[in-house]
Amino acid sequence: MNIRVFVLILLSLFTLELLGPVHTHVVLPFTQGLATVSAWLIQSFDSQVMSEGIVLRSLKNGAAVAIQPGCNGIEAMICLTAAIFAYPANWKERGVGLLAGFVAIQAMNLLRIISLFYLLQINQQWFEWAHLYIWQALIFLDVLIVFVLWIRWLPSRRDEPPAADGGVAHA
Amino acid sequence: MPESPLEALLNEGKSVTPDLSVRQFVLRTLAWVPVTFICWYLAAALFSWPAITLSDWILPLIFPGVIEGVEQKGYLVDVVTTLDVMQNGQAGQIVLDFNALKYGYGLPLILAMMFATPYSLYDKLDNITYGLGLVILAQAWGIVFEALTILMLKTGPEVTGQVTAILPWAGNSIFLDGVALSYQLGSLILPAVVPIVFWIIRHQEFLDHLSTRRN
Repeated sequence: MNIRVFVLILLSLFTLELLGPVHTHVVLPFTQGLATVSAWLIQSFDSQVMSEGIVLRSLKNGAAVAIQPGCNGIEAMICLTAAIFAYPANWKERGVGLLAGFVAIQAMNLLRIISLFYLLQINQQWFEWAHLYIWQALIFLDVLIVFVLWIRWLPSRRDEPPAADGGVAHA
Repeated sequence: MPESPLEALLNEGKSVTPDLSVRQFVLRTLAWVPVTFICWYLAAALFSWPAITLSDWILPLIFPGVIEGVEQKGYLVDVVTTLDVMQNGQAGQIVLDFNALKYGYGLPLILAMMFATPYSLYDKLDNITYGLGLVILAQAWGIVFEALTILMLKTGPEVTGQVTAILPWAGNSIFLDGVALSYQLGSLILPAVVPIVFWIIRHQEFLDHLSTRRN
């Protein structure tokens, strides 16, 4: 893995994400889309839910969660993108990794948003705990798991001979 | 010279990454996550102490004459300022209080990943030491820029006017943009990204091992 490429892509994408125009034209619409998809998924079992922009609201009790920057999985995707591009693989394999990673991260993120929406209505303290600590860590753990599964899957790497002693030396 | 029992324990498995499948690694990490999170939360005050102490050194250096220091109350921080405020007809001193733990969840995450990685105890301790150092820096970054953001961007002209009377450069738009960006970096990116990036950088051989393993 090329660490320089990894760090360079990571810094470039994070800088890009923090720029005002990117926030307005990419991050915000994407986050609104996430709120819409969350509302659509919830409506399949609870019709008393609606989305307004980045806000998900219960029509029963007025409880609402706003999907803020940091809660949309973009940072996790940036991390995975940098790792995939820095790892030796061909472009097709990278494309598969990014697509699978996007699906895995956003599926996990939708689970996070929906669970937090209901947790808020059950217990404020649990909501805070899950929101501030647990889900944030789990989303990034998801990144690591997807990355590890991807490098395990890589067809071009699988053809390489394994280490002679069955293990790999390291410092 | 023969190895002592402690050296033998530390060096067990050193130089060779034990064989471990992706599934075993993932399951081991997921098993460690609840353990490290519960321990971290129970000892939150202790784990927050280094970052809060660091902020107590940094903030008065950045804002001399405005910020007196940072006090720890469990995992909460009180940023004590010299600024005055009038509330209900009474004068008081502005103290900013917020949760420092929200910038520190990288700590149990990095511990879970390190414990799950099949390296020798020596290598694990080595990685954990550097990893914790980085996580503490990331947490201190979050605390410092949340304090500056509240003070300069969220309070209003009555407070910012007092700050710029003491430190005229603090009202500069470039400085304020820098504070806003650094706060975004500290709250959105650093807490979760630092542990993952550090683990990836420090476990290149293990990643190669996983990629070429036959099952």
